[in-house]
Amino acid sequence: MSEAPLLEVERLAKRYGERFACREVSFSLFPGEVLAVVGESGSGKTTLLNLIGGRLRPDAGAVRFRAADGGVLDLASLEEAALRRLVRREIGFVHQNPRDGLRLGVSAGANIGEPIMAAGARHYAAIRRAAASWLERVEIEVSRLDDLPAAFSGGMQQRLQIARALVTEPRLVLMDEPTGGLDVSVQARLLDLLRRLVDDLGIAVVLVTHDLGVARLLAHRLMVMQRGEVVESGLADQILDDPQHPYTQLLVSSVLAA
Amino acid sequence: MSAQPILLEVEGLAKGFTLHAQGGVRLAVLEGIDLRVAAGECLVLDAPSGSGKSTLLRALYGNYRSDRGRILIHHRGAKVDVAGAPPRLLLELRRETIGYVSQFLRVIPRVPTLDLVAEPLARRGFGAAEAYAKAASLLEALALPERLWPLAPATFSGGEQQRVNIARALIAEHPLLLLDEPTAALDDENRDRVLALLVERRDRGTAMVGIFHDAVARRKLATRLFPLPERTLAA
Repeated sequence: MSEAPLLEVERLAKRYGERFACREVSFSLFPGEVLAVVGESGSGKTTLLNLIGGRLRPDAGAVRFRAADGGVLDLASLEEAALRRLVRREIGFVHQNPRDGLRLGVSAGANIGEPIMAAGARHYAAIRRAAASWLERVEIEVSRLDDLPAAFSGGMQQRLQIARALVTEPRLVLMDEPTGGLDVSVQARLLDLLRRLVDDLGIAVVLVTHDLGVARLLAHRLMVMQRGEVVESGLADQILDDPQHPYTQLLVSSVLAA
Repeated sequence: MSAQPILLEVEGLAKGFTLHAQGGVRLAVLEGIDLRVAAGECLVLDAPSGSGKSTLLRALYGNYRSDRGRILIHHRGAKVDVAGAPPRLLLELRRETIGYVSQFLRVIPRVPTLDLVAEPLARRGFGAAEAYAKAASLLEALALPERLWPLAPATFSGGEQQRVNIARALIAEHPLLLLDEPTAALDDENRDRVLALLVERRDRGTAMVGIFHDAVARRKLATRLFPLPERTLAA
């Protein structure tokens, strides 16, 4: 319990004209914790994710990240080049659409190998070995190493994107509806895979989803957003089984039990 | 019994629900609950359906929030209040100190039975070999056929799923166990196997709070009955 948080978000705000996409958002995240952000489309979930990942600059607030060397940096005010370096080294992204996270013009192996090379690896055989072992980890046959991602099914593309995001073992991974566009059976396989990888690697995750089942399965904690603000947060099963806020109650009661 | 340490102390616990979608109607379920449970005791909640027994168990586990009162748990040599504990502390309590057996297994797609049972022990930092060995011995004690161990329990019968659920809840040997009708889905033979395991845990000092409608389960396990006051409905 005495461990320091990996991420401390404080009073974060982002405005588009008069409208707040994100307002007064504060939370901390510890190593190994999975935080799900839930809410309807337009509630500010993806904006929040982009603010945390340094892809958007906030109008107010701080995003304090504890880097691997122990130093604490505020991503909200970090200078551009330093921000890009930090994000490349320590933060992974998984997009809803695998095509946004993959390079479609190069092989599966290169998609996994590139981030390792960007991180400094130079030895070709070692990079190829690492790529092959990650393909196996995400349950893609190693014989597909030289195939282009365009030849993969949607579920395989998503697993490849996850391998590309995790191969450098970032300490924080941001996921935006990672199971969004997939068939239910493909989703189950992906969820099981994510659950195992997150457990094994002990990474911290901020997961944006509108699927409360996904949130229950993967997340330790939950944050409910409505119109850019956090209306309720806490332990995942507590929020889902005993929701307090009218909006959370509405969300939970709107889910059809299968 | 008086020499045994108190593992759970509840003081003035109150819990209700506000249903916003139904005009903000307020259901007061628990009011002024006081109880204490020592190591080696099994307290059985004794009240009719709808009087809040499951609500009380869920509040003790931190699955439901409490409105008032304290739920003090003996944890890492100190008293910790579940009511109002931050998520990280609740997760730590559940890993190390409080176990919960629900009425049904929440099936996780694709995860094999043996992994599912071993997981809580692995999460406490035990090695995989030890966790799997213990998972296997528990499943054996609960007479779950070995050919089912590599399969995900989604297609198992209710009784088989429930035994997986019980094995998963018992493996980490939490000092405090919360039991919500763990034997309801079982035939007599399997019920007796589960009860034998629970009696053995109790006699080794595990503190328990449980809901049992089954008379045999009550007779074998309960050291004390705890009546709940009838529930009051308020607008």
